[in-house]
Amino acid sequence: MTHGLVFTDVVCSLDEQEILHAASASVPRGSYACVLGASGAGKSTLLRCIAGLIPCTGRIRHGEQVLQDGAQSRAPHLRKIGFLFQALGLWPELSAAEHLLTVLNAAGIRGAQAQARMEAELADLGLAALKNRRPGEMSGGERQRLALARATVHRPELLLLDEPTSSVDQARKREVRTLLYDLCRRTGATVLHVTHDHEEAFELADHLICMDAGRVVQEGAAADVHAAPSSVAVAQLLGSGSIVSVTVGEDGLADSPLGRVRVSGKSVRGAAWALVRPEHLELAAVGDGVPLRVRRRLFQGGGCQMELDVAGVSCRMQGAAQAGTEVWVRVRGQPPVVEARSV
Amino acid sequence: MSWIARQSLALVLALLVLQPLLVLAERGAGVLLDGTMDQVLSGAQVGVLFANAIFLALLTTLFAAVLAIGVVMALGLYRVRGEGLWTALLLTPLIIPPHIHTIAWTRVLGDKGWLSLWLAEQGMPMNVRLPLATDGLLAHIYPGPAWVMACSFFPLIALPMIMTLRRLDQESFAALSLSIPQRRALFIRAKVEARPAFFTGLIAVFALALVTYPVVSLLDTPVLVQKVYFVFSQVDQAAGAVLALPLVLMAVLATFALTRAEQSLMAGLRGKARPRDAASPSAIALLVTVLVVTSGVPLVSLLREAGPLAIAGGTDNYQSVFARTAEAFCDTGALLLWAMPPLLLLSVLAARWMARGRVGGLDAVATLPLALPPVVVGVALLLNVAAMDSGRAALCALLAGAVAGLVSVGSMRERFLSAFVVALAATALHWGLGVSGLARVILTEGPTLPVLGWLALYLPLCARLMRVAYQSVDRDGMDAARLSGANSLTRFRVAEWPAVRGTLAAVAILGFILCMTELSATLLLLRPGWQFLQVRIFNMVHYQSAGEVAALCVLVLVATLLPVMVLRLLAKGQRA
Repeated sequence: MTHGLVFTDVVCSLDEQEILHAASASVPRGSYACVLGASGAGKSTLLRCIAGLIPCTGRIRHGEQVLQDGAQSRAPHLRKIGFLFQALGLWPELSAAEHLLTVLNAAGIRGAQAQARMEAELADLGLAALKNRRPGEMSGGERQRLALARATVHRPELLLLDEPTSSVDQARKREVRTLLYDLCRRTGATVLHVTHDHEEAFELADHLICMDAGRVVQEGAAADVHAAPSSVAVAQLLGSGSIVSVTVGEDGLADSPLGRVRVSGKSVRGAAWALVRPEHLELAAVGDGVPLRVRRRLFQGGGCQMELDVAGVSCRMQGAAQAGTEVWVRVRGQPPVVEARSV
Repeated sequence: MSWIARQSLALVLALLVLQPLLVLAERGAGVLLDGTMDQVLSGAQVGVLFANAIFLALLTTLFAAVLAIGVVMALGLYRVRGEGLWTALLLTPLIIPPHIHTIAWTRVLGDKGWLSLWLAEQGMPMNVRLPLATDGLLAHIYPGPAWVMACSFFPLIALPMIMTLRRLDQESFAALSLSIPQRRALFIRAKVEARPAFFTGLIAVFALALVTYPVVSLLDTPVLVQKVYFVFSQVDQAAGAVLALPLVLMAVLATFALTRAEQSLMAGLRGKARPRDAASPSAIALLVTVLVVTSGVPLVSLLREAGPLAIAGGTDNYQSVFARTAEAFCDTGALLLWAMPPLLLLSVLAARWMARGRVGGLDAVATLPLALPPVVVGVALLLNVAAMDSGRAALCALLAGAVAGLVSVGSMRERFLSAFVVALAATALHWGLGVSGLARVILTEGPTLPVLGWLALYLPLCARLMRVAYQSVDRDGMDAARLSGANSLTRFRVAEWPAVRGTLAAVAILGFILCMTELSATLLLLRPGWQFLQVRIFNMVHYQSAGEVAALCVLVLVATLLPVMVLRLLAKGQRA
C-alpha cells in the first residue's frame, strides 16, 4: 500500500484545551478516506491541522511532502491542498469566475491559461452559465459546486472536505455525493472527507478513520471496519446495529438474549458487548430460536423493519409483523464482539 | 495576534491613555499634599454639588426613558411606512450637540423664550434655569437641564431597544402566544428581550448626564462638573482633576455596568424575526410628537431666532456670522482632516488585533477613556504634554509602558519581556518628543493636542465597534484565501473588506459626528491660533447677538449633516 497522507501523534490545543490527543492514521495515496465521528470528536480540527490553518504538533506527511514535523510547519498555501469548508467560505464580492481566477493567479497561473482552466472547471461543475454571478445570486447547490470548483481548480494533491453535505437537503445529498466521487476520481487527489453520517461514509469511502474524543479509535478499509468495529464507540458510530451483552465461552460460542450464537471479531472470552445488525437476525419457525415481542413496525418505503425488544435492548430486523405480536427469531452469521464488558 | 501587533497595541495605549493618567495622578498627589486642595474644598460645598449632579443625572435618565419608550412603541414593536427615514430622524438629536440643544431651548424656555413669555402671561412662570422648590432638601432638582439633556441623549436608549425588538424571535413569541393572548405575549417577550438594551441605554444616559459640561455651564446649574472646570481654569489644573474624582468613580462604575450589559445584549440567540403589524395611528402620533418636541421645537426655535434668508439682497444673520467665522470653519475642517485618518486607521488596526486573539487587560485599558469625563482626559493630556521634558513624566512613560506590557496576555515570562520592551519604547518616544522640542510645539501651536484628545476619547468606542465587524469576518473565507496563497491585499479585498466596510462607514460617520460635536475637552485642548466651531458658538453665546448665534448653530448643523449624507450616499453607492 502506498501511503499518501500519514499523520502521527497530532496534538492540537485551542484556548488551552486539548482538542486532538496524539491522533495518528495513514491514508493510501489517491484513495477516498472518510473521517467519521460524532460532533465534537475533533474531525474538523484534524482537517484544519492538516491544512496548516491552526497550529499543532506531531508529524504530517503527504507522499514525499512533509507538511508538519514537530513544531516546524509548512505554510498552508505551499501544501498543495484544496479545502471545501463546511460553511463554504465563499467570497461575497467576487463572481464565480473571479473566485477561480483569484486562486489560479495566486498559484502562478495567469492569462489565457488561467482563463481556459477556469472556463473548463466551471463547465465541469455545471456553472458555465453562472460565471458572472456572485454567491449571493446563486442557489445553495450552486454555491456548493462553486466552493468545490474553488477547492479543486488548482489541481491539489490532497483534498479536504469538511462535512460537504451538511448544508444541503436530503434530496440533493445524493447528487453532491456523486459529484464528489466523480470529481475526486477524475483529479486523482487523495481525499479526506469529514462526516458524521455513516451511510455517507460507507457509500464513498475506500478507507475509514473513526474518531472519538480527539483520538483516532480505528482506521482501515471501510469493509474491514464495518465487519469488525474495535469498540462500542466505533460500533455506535457505524450505526444501524444494537449493542447486546453476551458471554463468550472458550469454544467461541456466546450466550446471549438471542440464544447461543457464534461470534466473530475480537477474541474476547467472558463478558463482552456484541454488535447485532438487522442482517444478523432472521425469522424462524415457532420453537426454533427465541420468542421476541415486536415493539413497532417501521415502514421504510421499499420494505418494512421491525423493532424488537431483546432483554431491554432495541434490535431491528427485516419483517412486517404488527406491533405487540410475538415472533420467533434466530441469529444467522456471526455478530462481531466489539469490546470486553466489565462485570 | 502576532507578538509585534500586541506590543504595538500596548505601546499606543500606554502613550495615549496610561501615561497621561499617570502624570495626572502624580500631579494630583502633589496638590493633595501641598494644601492646594484644602483651599479648593474650603468653600466649594462639593457634597451638595455632587448630590445635585446625581439628581440631575437621575432626572435626565427618567425623562430620556419616557421619551424613548414613546418612539420604541412605534418603531420597534410595529411597522411604520418609511422606517429608514424615521430611524434617521431619530438620530438627529444625537447629531445636534448638547450646547446647541441648550441654546435652542433657552430660546423656548429661557428668560425671554417664547414659551416662557406665553406661560408667564397665563400666570405660570417657567424658566429652564430654575430649580424645583425643594425646601429642606440638601440638593436641588433642576428639571430644565435634565430635559435638555434628555432631548439630546434619549436615542441612546431608543435605538438599541428598537434594533433588539425588530429582531424579536418569531418562534419564541409564537410559542408564548399559543398560551396567552397575542398582545400580552408580545408585551412579555418584548419586555424580556429589550431589557438589556433598555438598561444599557439608561446607564449610558446617566453617565453622560453626569459629566456633560456645556449644558450645565450655559444654564448655570450648580453641579460638580462645572466646579471642576472652574477650579481647572481659575485655581490649578491638577486640583480640578482631583475634584472630578467622584465623577470618575461614578463613570467607571457606569462603564463596568455598560460592558456587562453589552455582553448580555450580544448574547441573544435569535431565529427568524417576527413579522410586525402596522403601527396604529396613535403610535405614529406618539412618535411624531416625540420627534417634534425633541428635535423640531429646538430647530424651529433656532431658525426663527436666526431670521429669514436675505434672498432679495442685503445681509442676513447667516451671511454676517459666516463672514465672521469663516476662519473657524476652515480650522474645524482642517482639525477633522487631521483627526479622522488616524482615528479610523487605529480603530481598524486595534480591532483587527483584538478580534484575532485575546489581548488580556489591554481591553480594560482601552475601555478606560470611555469611563472618564472628557474634562479629565483633556487635563491629563495637557499636563502630560506640558511635562514632556521632565524626569517625572519620563518615569510615568516608563511605568505606563511596563503596566501596558504586564497586563497583556501570555506566561509571566512573556509578560515581563513585553513590559520591558513596551516600557523602553514608550520612554524612548517620550524622550524623543521632549528633546526634539516637538512637545513644546504641540503644547503651544498646531492641531495635535485636540486631535490627541479626540483619539483618546473616541478610539475605544470606534475600535470596539470595528472589533464586532472583524469578529464577523468569515473565517472559512479567510482560510480559503490563505490556502490559495493569496497575498495579504487580496485576502483583505476578498474576505475582510466585504465584512467590515459597512461598519467602517458607520464608524467614519460616528467618529466624524463625535469629533465635530465635542466641546468639553476641546475647550481645554484647543491651541492659540486655532478655532473650532463648537468652541466659537460656546464663546459667542456670551457676547454676540442671539440671532447670529442661532444662525451659526444652524450653519454648523448643516456642516455636520452634509458630510454625513455624502458618506451615506457613498456607502449606498458601494453597496449597489
